[in-house]
Amino acid sequence: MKEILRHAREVIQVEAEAVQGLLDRLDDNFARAVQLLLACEGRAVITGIGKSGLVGRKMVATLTSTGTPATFLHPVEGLHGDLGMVTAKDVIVAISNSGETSEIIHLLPSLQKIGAKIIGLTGSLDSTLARSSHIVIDVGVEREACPLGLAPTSSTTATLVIGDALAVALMRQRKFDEKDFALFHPGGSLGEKLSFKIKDVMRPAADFPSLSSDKTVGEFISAINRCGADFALVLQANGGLAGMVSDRDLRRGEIGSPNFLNRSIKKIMDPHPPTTEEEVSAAEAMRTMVEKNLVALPVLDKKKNLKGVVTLRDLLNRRDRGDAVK
Amino acid sequence: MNPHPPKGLIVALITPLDEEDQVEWESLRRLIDRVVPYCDALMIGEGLIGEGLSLPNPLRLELLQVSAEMVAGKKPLFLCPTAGTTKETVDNITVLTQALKNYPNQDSLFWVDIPLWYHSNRKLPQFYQEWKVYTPYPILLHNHPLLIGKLNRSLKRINIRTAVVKRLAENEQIVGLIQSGDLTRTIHYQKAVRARRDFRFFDGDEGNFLNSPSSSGVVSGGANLLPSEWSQIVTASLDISEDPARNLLLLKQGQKLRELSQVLQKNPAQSLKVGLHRLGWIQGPKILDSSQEGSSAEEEGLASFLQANFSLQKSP
Repeated sequence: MKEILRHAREVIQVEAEAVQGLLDRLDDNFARAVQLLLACEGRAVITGIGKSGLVGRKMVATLTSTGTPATFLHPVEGLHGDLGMVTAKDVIVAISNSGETSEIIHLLPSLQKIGAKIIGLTGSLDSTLARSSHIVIDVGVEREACPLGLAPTSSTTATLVIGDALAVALMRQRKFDEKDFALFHPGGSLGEKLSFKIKDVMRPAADFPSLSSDKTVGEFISAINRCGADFALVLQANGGLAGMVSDRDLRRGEIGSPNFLNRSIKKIMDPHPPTTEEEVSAAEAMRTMVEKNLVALPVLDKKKNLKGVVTLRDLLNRRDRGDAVK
Repeated sequence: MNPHPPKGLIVALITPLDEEDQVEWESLRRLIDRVVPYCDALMIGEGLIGEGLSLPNPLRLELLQVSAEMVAGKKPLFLCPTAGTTKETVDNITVLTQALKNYPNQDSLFWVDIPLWYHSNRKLPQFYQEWKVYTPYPILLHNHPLLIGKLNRSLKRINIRTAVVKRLAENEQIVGLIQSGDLTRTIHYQKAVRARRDFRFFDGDEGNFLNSPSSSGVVSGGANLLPSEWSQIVTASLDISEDPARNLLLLKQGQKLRELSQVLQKNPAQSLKVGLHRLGWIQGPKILDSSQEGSSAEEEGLASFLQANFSLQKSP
């Protein structure tokens, strides 16, 4: 019994020291990584294999539930096609304690070609991963707690802690609050019910008011009143999306001025509204709508053709239906 | 800037001796050639395994110098100049620095000193500040409580104090520490030198490394007998992957190295020499310090180990 407890104490002692050691390794690179993730227009794509992969998956869950869009890329699947999900707007967080994990190293040239920025989490600052990364966070530890190098222990604990530190630092920078947490937490009342995709809930564009860009503000108001909607799609002659206009945009249009109703909707519409795609998760679409204070998102295909519209109301209704089924 | 010592397997080489207590140079050359492909650095004249502290000082200086010629820059060298007094130790580093000034790879030479063998904790940092006057080579300290405990002196401390380690780490010529004591003290030392990110911590105790491997590496005596196995374990520990087939091999190797470590625990120099002699690597198992001679139980343990791992019969 004493021996068991002695061994357990040793492991805890070694791992606690590994975490303490991170305090001294923490430097400007960490702050730069947070800034890079904050400025990221795409998603944080976390990659790693083995126990680093498991840590990566946990990191994705923590980032997602604290307001940072994130996804996991298995490095082997990445090499067999999943790299298609990575865009230049994404930030890659690659985890490898040695910095020489072959599956990760093989992925790096393709990631560099795509143009995504890379944050390397490694214990070896002169490794291939460190040299290939735009920012390197040192997660090195002095000692592993597991004998014979059979399994990473302290090093994965240290990486896990850095992952949490990144998520929380981002959350604070974003001023993510209690309400947001309830919205996005994967196990939370909303999060778990928003696991469906946009294609499951979107409606055809024809269900919503639409008009061409040569119409006036007055015609826009008539159109939304007719349909009981709070926005309208602005369409090109070929049916493509030219913009979007909502009743909130009216406030920017100097209501009450003599010629207000005769003004062109071009003056108040958003010509580049945020959009989404059919395969995107409902949770992510809702996050975009909440963050940008929108009531609907046009759904486009890969060629930027308008496929339909998803509204905040439809998402909430679908969620509530899921609740009822439960 | 001081060169960094390599990470990995540091083999503390035994010193083969003939019946007249002289170094058996040919056996030494064979041993060096045997371990060089597997090790990351060689340690010559280590206090216990290499009998550095038992050798007469002139012989030890010769050992260090000739070993360096044999290694000829092929691998980094950890040289142990520790002597019975401060003056003698300083004389050793001065003489050797002069002798090694034309060594082919100057960045691969490191001192390994056991300070408490001849100096107290008091004013130790000041003492090492003076080393830069005598030698340009970086220093690794060896905290060796087992060895210090064997000194026939009434000592207040057998370990370097943590506060002293902290101050010693302010000296850039000191690039690392070999810790042969317990894990808790190692962790305290690590905390004390956190400000020095380049500081290396080697396990001086094979058992500690096998239980929770340091990311710098290990100083091993057992690697005199099983260099390939030790190399595999150290490499795996410093670059952990999770291949189940590899892990099965590591478990088997680890078990073997643990057994060897147990066999060597009490009298490493004697046991290693008996083993190497029986395997034909050295001419005889002669050691200088007769107090290190093994008991019959130890001999039996070693014989069983050799029989199991090298297919040797129990009797020579």
